Amino acid sequence: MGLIRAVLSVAFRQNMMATKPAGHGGPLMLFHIETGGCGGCGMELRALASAPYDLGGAGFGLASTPAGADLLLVSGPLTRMMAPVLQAAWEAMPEPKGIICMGDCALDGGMFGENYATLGGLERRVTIDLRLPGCPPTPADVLAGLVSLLGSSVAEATPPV
Amino acid sequence: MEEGCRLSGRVVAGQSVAHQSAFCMAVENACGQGVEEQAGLGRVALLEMERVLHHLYTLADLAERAQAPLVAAHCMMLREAMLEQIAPVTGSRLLMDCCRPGGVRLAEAEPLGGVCDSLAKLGQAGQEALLELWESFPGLSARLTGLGVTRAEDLARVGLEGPVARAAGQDCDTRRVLGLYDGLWRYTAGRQSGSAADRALLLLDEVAESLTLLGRIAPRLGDAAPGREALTLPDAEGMAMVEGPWGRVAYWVQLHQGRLAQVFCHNPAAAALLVFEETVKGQPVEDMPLVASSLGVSAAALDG
Repeated sequence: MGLIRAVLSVAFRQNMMATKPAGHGGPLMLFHIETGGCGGCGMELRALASAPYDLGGAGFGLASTPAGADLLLVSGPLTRMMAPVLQAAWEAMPEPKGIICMGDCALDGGMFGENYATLGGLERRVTIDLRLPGCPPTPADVLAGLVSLLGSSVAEATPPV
Repeated sequence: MEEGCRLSGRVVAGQSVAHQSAFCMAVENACGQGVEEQAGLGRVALLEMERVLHHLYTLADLAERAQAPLVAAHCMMLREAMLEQIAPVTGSRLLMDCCRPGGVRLAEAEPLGGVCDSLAKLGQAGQEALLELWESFPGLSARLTGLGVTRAEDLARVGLEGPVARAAGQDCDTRRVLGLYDGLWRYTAGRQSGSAADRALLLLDEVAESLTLLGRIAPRLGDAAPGREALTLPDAEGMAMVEGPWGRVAYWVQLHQGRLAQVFCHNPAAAALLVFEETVKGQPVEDMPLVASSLGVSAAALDG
């Protein structure tokens, strides 16, 4: 009985936070890569991908490999160790593709700045298609930012690093 | 000092209160100053809220990896229901920057007691339903039973404490020796076979325990807003520790000429990685993420 109740409460949950995009076909697939930092943006992205938020309903999905992604979602300051990983992920993505920076660290290095271990953020290194500032941005902020993308096409971006 | 405190809250997300509390207490010990009772209780409330939110997040991750997305959805829905009440008061969904040297700083400090009471009521009902679902969901317990069993000698060798050691039968909890918890905390008796299933059920037990503790704090916090005292910074050293969601978090600080000169931080991340390396021997490769999640292996914490 508990199991049936659990299924029903998820299937018919109230206060869904989905925002349905207008006139968009398949979902835009995001490949998330955490290039360093505290992991807070990753936690908020995970929250966004779970109930009661509805990332799928808003027209987005999370890709398990960069080869299946439309957008590269970067969080955390760019550590020297992760720079080649980020480059490889970008190169593995099919065209057209774009970059989203989630959180202050991904934009300008945030609290971590530029030092012996980190290269700072991507702000002055690549063309960023969507900036989601905050430390960390909330799931609602991220969802609003993502939905704003659907109003226009993703601009051609230059490779990172 | 402010920047050091902010940075300590970003060593690893989900454990910000533990890191910032230990950092602030170390600074206060160096200064030879304590905080007022309400501020101390406020920190305990924040530590326990963080533990509940962290454990629910970890349980959701475990359930997702164990092919039980329905259970994961319930964990995250309960977590979000709690965050709806917590975030307006703390000003941060991850409880960052709430603890400052000398006390606490909240977006809205007055309702903290009411939020503790409300969380205790909301959470206890939710936790019972979650426990029932966890134990009855087809295949979930079977998937985790016998997986990633930790050995007592490995835990002792690397000095790993926290829920991983408690789920393997060790009686170790920093809350036992912290004056902040006097009259509030009681020992949680958990499952003690040391497998991923035991760790998951222990986390569920600890959620219930923390919610009970929040219910006890609520009347003591009342409507009084916990505040913050100004500190005089001498040339001195201080250290402090708290029980974070994955175990003991300790800070040592050295103050010099009114500034933070040196900081050393200890957290369980490195020990968890060493135990993980021993535990995964002989396990199927596809089980590695599940075992890592149940042991609290965190790249962010290791980086910090």
